[in-house]
Amino acid sequence: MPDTIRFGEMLHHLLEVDDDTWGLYAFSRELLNKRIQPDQKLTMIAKANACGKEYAQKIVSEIGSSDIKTIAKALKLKVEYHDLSMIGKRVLFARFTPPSLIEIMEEPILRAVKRISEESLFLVEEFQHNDIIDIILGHEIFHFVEERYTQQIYTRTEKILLWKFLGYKNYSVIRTLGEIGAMAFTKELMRLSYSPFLLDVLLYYSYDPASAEKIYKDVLANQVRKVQGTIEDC
Amino acid sequence: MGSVNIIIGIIMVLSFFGLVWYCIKGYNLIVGFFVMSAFWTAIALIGNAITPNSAMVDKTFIDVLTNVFQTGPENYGKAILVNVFFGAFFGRILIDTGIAATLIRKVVELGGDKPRITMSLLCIVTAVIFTSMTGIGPVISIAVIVLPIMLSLGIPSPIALFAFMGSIMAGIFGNVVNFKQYQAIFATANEEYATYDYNAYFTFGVIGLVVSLVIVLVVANIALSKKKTSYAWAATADTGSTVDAPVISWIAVILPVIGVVGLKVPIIFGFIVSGLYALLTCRKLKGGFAEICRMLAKQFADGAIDVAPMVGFLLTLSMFNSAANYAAPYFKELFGGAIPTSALLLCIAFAVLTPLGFFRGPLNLVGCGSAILAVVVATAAWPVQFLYPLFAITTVAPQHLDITQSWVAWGFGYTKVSTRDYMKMSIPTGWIIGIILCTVVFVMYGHLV
Repeated sequence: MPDTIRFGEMLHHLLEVDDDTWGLYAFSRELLNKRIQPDQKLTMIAKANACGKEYAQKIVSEIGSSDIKTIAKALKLKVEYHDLSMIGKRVLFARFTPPSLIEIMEEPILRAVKRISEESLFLVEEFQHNDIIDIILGHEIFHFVEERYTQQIYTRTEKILLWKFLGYKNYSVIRTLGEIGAMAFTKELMRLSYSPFLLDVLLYYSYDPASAEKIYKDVLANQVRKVQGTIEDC
Repeated sequence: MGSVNIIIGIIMVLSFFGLVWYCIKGYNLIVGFFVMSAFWTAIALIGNAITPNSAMVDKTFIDVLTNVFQTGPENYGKAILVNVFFGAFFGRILIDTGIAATLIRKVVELGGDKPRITMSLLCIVTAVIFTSMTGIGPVISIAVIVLPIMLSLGIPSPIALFAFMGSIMAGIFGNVVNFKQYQAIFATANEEYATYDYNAYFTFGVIGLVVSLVIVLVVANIALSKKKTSYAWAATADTGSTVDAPVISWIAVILPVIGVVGLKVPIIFGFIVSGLYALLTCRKLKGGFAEICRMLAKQFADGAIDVAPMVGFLLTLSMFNSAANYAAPYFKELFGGAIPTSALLLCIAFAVLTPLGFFRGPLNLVGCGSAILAVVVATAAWPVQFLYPLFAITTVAPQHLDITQSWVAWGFGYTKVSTRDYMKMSIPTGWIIGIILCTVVFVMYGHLV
């Protein structure tokens, strides 16, 4: 693998990455990553993906449309657009604040669209401005759905035991499962052939190509570990 | 002739407001305090030429200049700079060994995905860490770990920034290096105050730490209840999956304080031994003698760079402190009658006026406070056990929450939080802490007056 990889080449590789690999990549960013056993992770990833798909179908049957903006409107979500995006090395794409506020950061989308316009026609058509917004909006709609079904949805009911003391047990939800579920939800709604996690590289690249390449390499490393069955290193 | 002194006093007060404006604009404090030192010295000399200044009796023009621009920084250097450098060296070791980062990760694993609990645990560990660490370098090193964690838990950035900076402020109440800084200012104001040491201050320092941490957490939690935690989609290149420092090394964070308080060891020795303990337990003392020497030299150099801006500021601040002694007679002329002479009234005055510690104001020892200290010291024979904690309150709480503090200013750039959103929480917090702790000072030390 060469030291630096072309942007377009990275995206083409990432379009082929499977959901389990993306899930492991998501877990590598999880605060509680070290508290979860490797075999548990794969099970959780599968369940979170299934959960995302299930709730996508549920919402489509409830609203009668799979169009993201129509769903947002039907669910009475307030969508705002802001410029604020990068805090330190962290690029914020969007945010859902209960009960119904979704904030989408336009700057990374505009930067990505501009950058991708220099690439092949296939990529330009695959990642149009409106498509990226729909992917992000779909992701945030899932967090609204999580709030609505918080007592029963898998991504909120799956918990791990952090510690126990004199009979008191402290459990925690795993935030990453919500992210994995949100990606599966959006993928199902939009009938995407790739995981929306790909936007982590796509939208980050215009801010810091070297760090975006690091994310890309992290994803591929997870793919290799999964194939080799050594996911305890994730 | 009294009217001349009053006019000079008014000019000095106006120049102080100029300094506040200068600080708010974010201009360089080293230059600002040097200019203020020169200006106050100049007008005090002019005033002395018109009507004798009691602080300049038997002193020539050159004596005054020597005292302000030479003796002041020299004495300050002897008293604290070595502590600052070794404190920074120790801070750099805590960063390089991964001890500080490990402690932070461990408390996150304790709290889990519960923003309030995890934020509180992060604040507690941050406060403990900053009882020993100092300087903008270590603050940034910890901030780039703590702030993204808080943000990823959905805590709004103004609250995350405030809680983090507030917990540093709480830790500073127990910080040995900061104690030495302020004690040096007290020793300049009155030589008898030089005997006051960290052990005598320690009980109040711990109370100050606990009270201010509780207030910061209460304010942050109230703010959090007004703004719901969010779910963010964000990307970062940092996985944070570094190797944990061994459990046995974690105690290194508080070893300097334990050494000074429990074993009465000198602080520099405490920093060196604690640093070596941290390196030893984290298995960093390997690779041969030459390699270890190179590593230690690098850590000392990196620590020195971390505090270099602070050292520059402290040296010009020491000039300002000396100039303030010559300005004190004019302030006494203006405010002397208004300075309380009973413990209760002084505590009430400090409690009510705590906000004047913000923006390097007149109750802030690392601001214009050294001039007021000189005036207060001149009004009555205050025991240092009573007076030091009062000034520590109006210096530590406002200053380390203040937008003129270097790392707070850095935090605005890092988090893109507006100063307005931040100050809505920081100024009331500083004031509440001031009121509570001034009450504590009266209860604990009021009888000494």
